[in-house]
Amino acid sequence: MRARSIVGVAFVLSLAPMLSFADSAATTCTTGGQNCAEIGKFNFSIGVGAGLRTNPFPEQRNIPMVLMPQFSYYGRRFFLDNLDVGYTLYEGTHSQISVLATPGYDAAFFNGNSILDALLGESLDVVQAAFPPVPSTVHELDTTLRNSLTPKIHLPNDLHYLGGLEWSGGFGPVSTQLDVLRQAASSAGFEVRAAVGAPLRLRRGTLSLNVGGTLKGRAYVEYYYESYLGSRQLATLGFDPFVTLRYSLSLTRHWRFEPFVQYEHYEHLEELNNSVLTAFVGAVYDF
Amino acid sequence: MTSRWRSRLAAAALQFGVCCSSLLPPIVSRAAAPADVRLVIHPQVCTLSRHVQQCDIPIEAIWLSDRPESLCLIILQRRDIKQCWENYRSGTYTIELTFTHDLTFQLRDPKLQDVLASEVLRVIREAIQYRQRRRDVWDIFG
Repeated sequence: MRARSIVGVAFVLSLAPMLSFADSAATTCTTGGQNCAEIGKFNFSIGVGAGLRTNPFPEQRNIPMVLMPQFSYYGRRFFLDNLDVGYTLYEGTHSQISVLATPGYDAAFFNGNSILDALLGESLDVVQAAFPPVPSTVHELDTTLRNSLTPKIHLPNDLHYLGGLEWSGGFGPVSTQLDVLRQAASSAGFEVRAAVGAPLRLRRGTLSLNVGGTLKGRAYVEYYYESYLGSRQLATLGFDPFVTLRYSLSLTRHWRFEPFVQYEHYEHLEELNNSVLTAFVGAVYDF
Repeated sequence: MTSRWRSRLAAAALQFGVCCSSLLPPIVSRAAAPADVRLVIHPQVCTLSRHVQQCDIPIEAIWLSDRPESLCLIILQRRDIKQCWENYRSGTYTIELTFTHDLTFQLRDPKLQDVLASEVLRVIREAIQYRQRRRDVWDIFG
């Protein structure tokens, strides 16, 4: 476990030198492009298809994925990107540094409410207004999951937000991300998210590979998983690596075929089935 | 100012230009000199906002000549549109068009060989500003 944490820290630190990459204040987004966002425009898309996210708790059923709404809004500095809210302090040619508020996704295993529902396309008002409710089987699964995973700690909020700084970079085709976050509900909990992604253009479509991980402090892990950890002593740091493979093919002006598969390893859940696999096959409609 | 008044004003200005230029002493004989044909289009600019992708407006073309002329009005980008006059000193043509780029209005001789006058209706788009999108490669949707 310790060796894996060291690997995690090394991975995070390996991104740090890129922060000092020569960067000018000028932005390359003058005429738009794939990595540019139109200021003042609200973007909304929805993924429709069939997918599963395996549950690390073996007695539970896997989590179905049917509708996946995605939305974003970029102001001159403010941005809203799905459930993340941020304010960009610095934007250069290759990178940007932002203040960020983002949900702790571990809460999804317990609360089964907003984050999970967002994945299933249920709780967002926008989606409710635009689309009919998802099939009742999804409700049942969701309720089962929620009731059976009662955490020892009472989670006070629906969404468990973390706040901190984000460095997001683009170096040619390679994208990087480094988030240093502190838990809002518990002053001791923190998490560091780091990832590198690169697309590979195929004859038809694009294949993207993202690798990364989450470095979690002990207090953060204990906050969510105390009831499952029992008396087990945790290391000061835990590293949960992941790898995501995504294929994207534009079908029409609005539709794109976009299946993906993600493998995550939850280090602190080693007594459970700590490999989480997410797979989705479907298409995304851009409004 | 209403559209009608703008058109009248444009026509008046056109009339003034043609009449006054015809008062000037001719350098060459009138028979050999090309006709002084003036063309005015209204509006001269169509401004597209962020949420409007195309211009869909009525356009008025007014022409005046210092002597009777036979000519045709064409739009270079819309070859299907042609309006001709025979032995007229002035003419007005109104058409409602949908377009996304500049339109060039030309008055030509009946054989469409010589250009007697030309005006461009410009399309101006509201400048769309962009910024960098954050690279959210950590997220499952990134």
